[in-house]
Amino acid sequence: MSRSIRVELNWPQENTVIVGDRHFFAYDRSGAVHVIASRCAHRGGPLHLGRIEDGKLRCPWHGNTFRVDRLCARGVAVVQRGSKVIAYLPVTDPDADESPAVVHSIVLAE
Amino acid sequence: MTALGLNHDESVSQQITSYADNDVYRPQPAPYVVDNPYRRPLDRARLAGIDWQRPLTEDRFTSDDSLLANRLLMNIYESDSMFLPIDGLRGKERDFAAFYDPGSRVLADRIRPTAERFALGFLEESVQVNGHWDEAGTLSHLEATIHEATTADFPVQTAIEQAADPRRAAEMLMVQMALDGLTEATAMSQNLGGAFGPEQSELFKIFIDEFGYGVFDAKHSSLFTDLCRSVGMRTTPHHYWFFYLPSSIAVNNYFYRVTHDRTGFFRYIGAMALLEATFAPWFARLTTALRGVFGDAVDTRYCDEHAHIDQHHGRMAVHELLMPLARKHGPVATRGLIRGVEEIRLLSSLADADLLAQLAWTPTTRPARSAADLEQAPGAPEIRDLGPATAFETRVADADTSVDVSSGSVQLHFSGTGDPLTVAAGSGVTVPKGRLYGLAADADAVVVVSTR
Ligand SMILES: [Fe+2]
Ligand SMILES: [Fe+2]
Repeated sequence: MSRSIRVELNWPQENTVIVGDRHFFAYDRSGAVHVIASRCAHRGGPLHLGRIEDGKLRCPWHGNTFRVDRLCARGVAVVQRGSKVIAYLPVTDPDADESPAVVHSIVLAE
Repeated sequence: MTALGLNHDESVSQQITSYADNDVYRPQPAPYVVDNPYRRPLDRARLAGIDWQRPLTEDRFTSDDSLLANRLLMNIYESDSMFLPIDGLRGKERDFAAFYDPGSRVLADRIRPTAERFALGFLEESVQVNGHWDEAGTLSHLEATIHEATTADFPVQTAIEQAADPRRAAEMLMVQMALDGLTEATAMSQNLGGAFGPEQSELFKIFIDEFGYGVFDAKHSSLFTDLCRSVGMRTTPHHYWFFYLPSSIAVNNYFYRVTHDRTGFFRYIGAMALLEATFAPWFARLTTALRGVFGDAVDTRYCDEHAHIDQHHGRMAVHELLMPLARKHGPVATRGLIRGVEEIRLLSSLADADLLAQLAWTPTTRPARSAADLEQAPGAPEIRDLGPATAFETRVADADTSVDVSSGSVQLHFSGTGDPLTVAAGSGVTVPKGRLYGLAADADAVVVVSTR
């Protein structure tokens, strides 16, 4: 069976994971850090650059909104102890080189 | 908080005091509990001083409140299991009746949620398990965590080898291990009943190994008894009651907590699977350390058995129990399994740190603090009269603490075995924050206890 890609983030200094052309951002929901795929289900817009209002995240491209609780529930598997966040990203292409990069980047969805 | 809530809280605190009022939980002057599985002293006065509405946080995990609350919880849980004195019940019938008294059991059920929240509630805060856990993520996390644990250093074993008194240090570890070792797999037995499919039978297979396939001499708790006996330690449950560290009791209580409450089942399986999967190298390393300390005399079959069988238990617990449960019961179950893994990982690391600090502490005497020095102390010094009839008690120093003897001579106990340190009038000793210690005196003595 395929394994997931394990990444460790030192939150909040590191808030973004890039794997191939996939982008994930970390989001703190009352103390619990969620790692969410930054790809709008509509046209693939950068969700991490959207703003959150009234529990909804608005995609910066076409304004579609998504309930934050649902985005969190669909986030990748995370265990977190203090600032140490371990996330498991799904493998999409078992043959591709999918070494992840953990970085700090602009996240407006907070 | 509503007035109603306040009244309720007060009554829980009162109920805890009445629970501790049981004859078998009364204080005693001796530092050991000899041949009586029901006697488990609780200090009512200190229990009454606990603010049960302010649960422990991770940084207060090694504290006097933690020691008291975890002792209380242990009695609550263990009065659910069967204990009979090794030499028979004659003469202890009243203690037997008091320990299992139905009224006490009712009280235990009422105060248990409060005590659990107080002692272990911080795990909910300290460990977060988020997002969607699929099979691949679950297996990846287990494999990474097991790999990390089985390739890590073994700091406790190393600390024993390098201790000022390696024998005392090894025995102090065994005192902590006795919490589980002498009643091994009791928490596991709580989930043998019911009906939960093939995984129930997988759990049973692990359980029968723990129970030596019904052969008393092969039962893990018997092997543990033999280990203790081979180095001259006592083997009756809770002989070393006063010398359990709060974190050791908490780890033991955790397993009772997640099995007693059936909604904790998945957490239990996660925690158990991680331990079973990581025990083998830990015990192999312990055999080496014990051989180094005790030579050929020590009976290490308990460790050797775990070094072998737990390779299988680990595989069974992960691949036949945990993963099938995750597949079958979905994301909520999976999050519980992962939470159990993480919770025991956190508790174990806190317990290691607590034990390492206790092993590293070798108290020595120094001249007593002067009156002028005492005046500088942050809190008011406490003057304690000690004598042969004084109740023995151990406590955890909540701050760096000075114990100065003004008259007579006292013994400072700081480990389950080995001689205590004698401190004579005019001398004192410093107890670092977080350390467990007890004071005793054969003849009348006066000590001044102050924070530094
Ligand atoms: Fe065992
Ligand atoms: Fe085992």
